[in-house]
Amino acid sequence: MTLDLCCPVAAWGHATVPFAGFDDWRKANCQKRQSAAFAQTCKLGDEQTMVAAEAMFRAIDSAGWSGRSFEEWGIVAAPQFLGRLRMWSAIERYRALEVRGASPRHIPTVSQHAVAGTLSVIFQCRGPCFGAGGSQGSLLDGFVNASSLAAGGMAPGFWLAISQWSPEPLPQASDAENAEARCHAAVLALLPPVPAGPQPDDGSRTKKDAEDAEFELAVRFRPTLHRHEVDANVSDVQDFLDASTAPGSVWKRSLAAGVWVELRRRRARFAALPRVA
Amino acid sequence: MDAQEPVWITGAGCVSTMGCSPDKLIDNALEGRSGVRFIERFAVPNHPCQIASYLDQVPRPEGWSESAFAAHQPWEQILIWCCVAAMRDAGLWDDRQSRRVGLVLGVGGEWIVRWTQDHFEQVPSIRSAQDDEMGLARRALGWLDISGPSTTVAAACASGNYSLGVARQWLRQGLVDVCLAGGCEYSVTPMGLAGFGNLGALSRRNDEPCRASRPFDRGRDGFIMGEGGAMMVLETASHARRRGIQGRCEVAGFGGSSDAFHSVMPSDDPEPSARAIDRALRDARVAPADVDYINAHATSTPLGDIHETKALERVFGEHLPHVPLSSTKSMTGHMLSAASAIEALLCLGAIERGALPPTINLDEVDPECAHLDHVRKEARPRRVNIAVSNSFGFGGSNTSLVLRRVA
Repeated sequence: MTLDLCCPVAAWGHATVPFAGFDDWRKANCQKRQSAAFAQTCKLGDEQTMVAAEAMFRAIDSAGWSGRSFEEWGIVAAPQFLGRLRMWSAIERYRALEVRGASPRHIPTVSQHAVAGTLSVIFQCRGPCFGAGGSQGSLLDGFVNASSLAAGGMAPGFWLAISQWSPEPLPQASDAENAEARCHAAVLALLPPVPAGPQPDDGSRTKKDAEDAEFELAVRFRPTLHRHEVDANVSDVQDFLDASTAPGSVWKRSLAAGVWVELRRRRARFAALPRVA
Repeated sequence: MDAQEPVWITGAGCVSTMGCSPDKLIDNALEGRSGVRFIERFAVPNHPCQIASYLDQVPRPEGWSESAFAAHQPWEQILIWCCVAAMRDAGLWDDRQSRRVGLVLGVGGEWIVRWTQDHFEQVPSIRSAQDDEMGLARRALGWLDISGPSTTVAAACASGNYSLGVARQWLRQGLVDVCLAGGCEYSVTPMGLAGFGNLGALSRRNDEPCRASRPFDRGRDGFIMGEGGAMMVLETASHARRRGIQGRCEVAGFGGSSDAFHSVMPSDDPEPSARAIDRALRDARVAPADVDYINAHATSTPLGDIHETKALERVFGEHLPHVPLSSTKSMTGHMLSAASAIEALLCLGAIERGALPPTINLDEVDPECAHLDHVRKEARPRRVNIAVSNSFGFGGSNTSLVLRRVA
C-alpha cells in the first residue's frame, strides 16, 4: 500500500527577524500594516506570532490576494518552543509577587494554539484553527496535519504557519549573547487536491489558484514500521522556497513509520522575496 | 483509502478524579458524584479560587516497574496509563508492534507546564535550549513501543476534539492502521491556578467544593480547574472487523471553527460556535432532530453557558427543547486540554449504558438557559444513538464531535 496526499501551495511567504532590534521591528511593522486587528495583537503577541503574521501578509501580497476573504479557511500553526522568553518573565514575576504576579495574559499568548488563534483574528479566518507540534521538528507536525485536513476537504483552504527561533534566545542573556538568534516563519496556503471537472469560483478558492500553484506539499507513505525521524528547521524551508528554481526540486523529511513530507516545486520560480525584514 | 469509511472507537483509557477506568468514570458520572475538593497540593490562601478536581496519584500500568514509572513526570504518567489502558481495552496491546499505531495527543500547554515545574524544582530547562527534548507525543512512541507517527494538537479546551477529528482523518487517509487519540492535562499548579484566577474565570465558592461547578445554574460564578486525561483507540470499521472486533461507537462527525474575534476576550457572537456544531452534524449526515444527547461545553461561567445556549438555538431551532443536555463539568471540573476527550468518553458511556449523566448543582436554572431540556441532578435513562459533544476553546476555537451507536 502506498499513499500520496498532495496539496497545491497556492501562496507562500516568509520572514526572518533578528533578536536584536526585535521590539523596534515590532513597532514599525504594526504601523506599516495599518490593520486594526493586527494592531490589537502587536503589543502582546509572542515574537513567533508576529513574524508568522508578517509571513502571512507577504504570502497574501505576493499572490495578489489582498482584499480577498479567507472567512472559510482554516489555520494550522506549528511554532516551536513558543514563549520561552515570556514564560521566563512570567515565572520570575510569579516568584517575586506570587499570586498577584500571575498575568492572565500569558496563557493565551504562549499556549501552543496562540499563533493559530491570533492569525485567525488578524486575517479573519473562521475555519478550523489549532496549533500543532511544539518541540523540535514541530514544522513536520504542521505539514502532516495541515496536509491531511486540506486534502480531506475540511475547508476550502488551510493556512499553514511554521515558526521557530534559531538558535533559541536565552532568557536573561545579553543582546550580545543572543546576537545570533533569529525568529523564522514561513506560511503556505494549501488547497485541497484539484478534482476533475469544473470548480466553483467562490472567491477564495478557484481551480486556477490550484493550477497556478508554484509548489505542492505532499504527505507520502510507503509501508514500514521504522520509527526513524529527521529533524527539520524552518530556515531550511525558507531556503528551499527561495533557492529552488527547477520544477521537480524537492525538500523532503521523514516523519515516522514510513511517512514523510515533501515540498515540491511544480513550476519555475517567478519572484523572489526579501529574506530579512 | 476511503474518505467515507466509518471510524470506530474500539478501546478507551482514562485518568480522572472520578475514576481511572472508563467504567468507574461513567459509573460515578451517572451517580452524580463530584471530583472537586479543597486543594492541598500547594498553599492556596492567597488564591481567589482554592478548589479543584485534581489528582493525587496516577495508577501504574501492569508491566511497568515502580521505579521506572515514578521517574516520569505526572503528565507523562497520565498519558502512559491512558494509552496502555486504551490499547488493552481494544485488545491491541500485545499486538501493537505488528501495526502502524499513530498517536494524536491533544495538549495545549505542554511547555508552559514543563518549564514552570522545572523552574520551581531548580531544573533550568527553560534556560538550557541545548537540552531541549522532543515533545510528549514523540517521546511516548518509545515508552509505548509503537511505530507512530505522532503529533500534538492544541486548541486550548478544544484540543481533545481536534485530536479525535485529526486521528479520524489519518485513518481514512491510510497514514496509520490504528490511532490513539485524546487529551491530557496537568494544570492544577500554583501559576495555572493564579493565572485563571486573576482572569476572573474561576469560581470562588471555596467553602463548598462539590457544589461550586454549576453550569447553567443562576448562581454560577466561574469554572473549576480539573486535570487528568482520556485516550481512545480509533480504527476503521474494516480494520476492526478484520480483527473480529465490534466498535464501542463511531466517531461520526467533527466540526471546527474559529471566532476570529480576540485572543483573550470571548466573542458575544454565537454564529462561529453554531457553525462548528452544524459542520459536525453535516459531516455525520445527522439532522438536529436525530440527536439524542448533547454533552455541553458549559463550564459554569456566567457568559459562556449563555453563549453556548444561543449557539445551540441556532442549530437545533425548534428541536432544542426536546434534546436532553447536560454538562459533566459540574462533576469533573474543567479539564482544559483533556476536557473534550473525557466528555467524548462520557458520551460513549451514555450510548453504551442507555443513560445520560446529569448536570449536578443545577438548583435554579438560569432563565436564559431555561428552555433547554436539562438532565438535572440525576441520570436519566434514554437510548442514545447519536450524541453530540461541544468544546469551545479559550481564544475562540470551537469544536463539536458527533458519536454514533454502532449498529
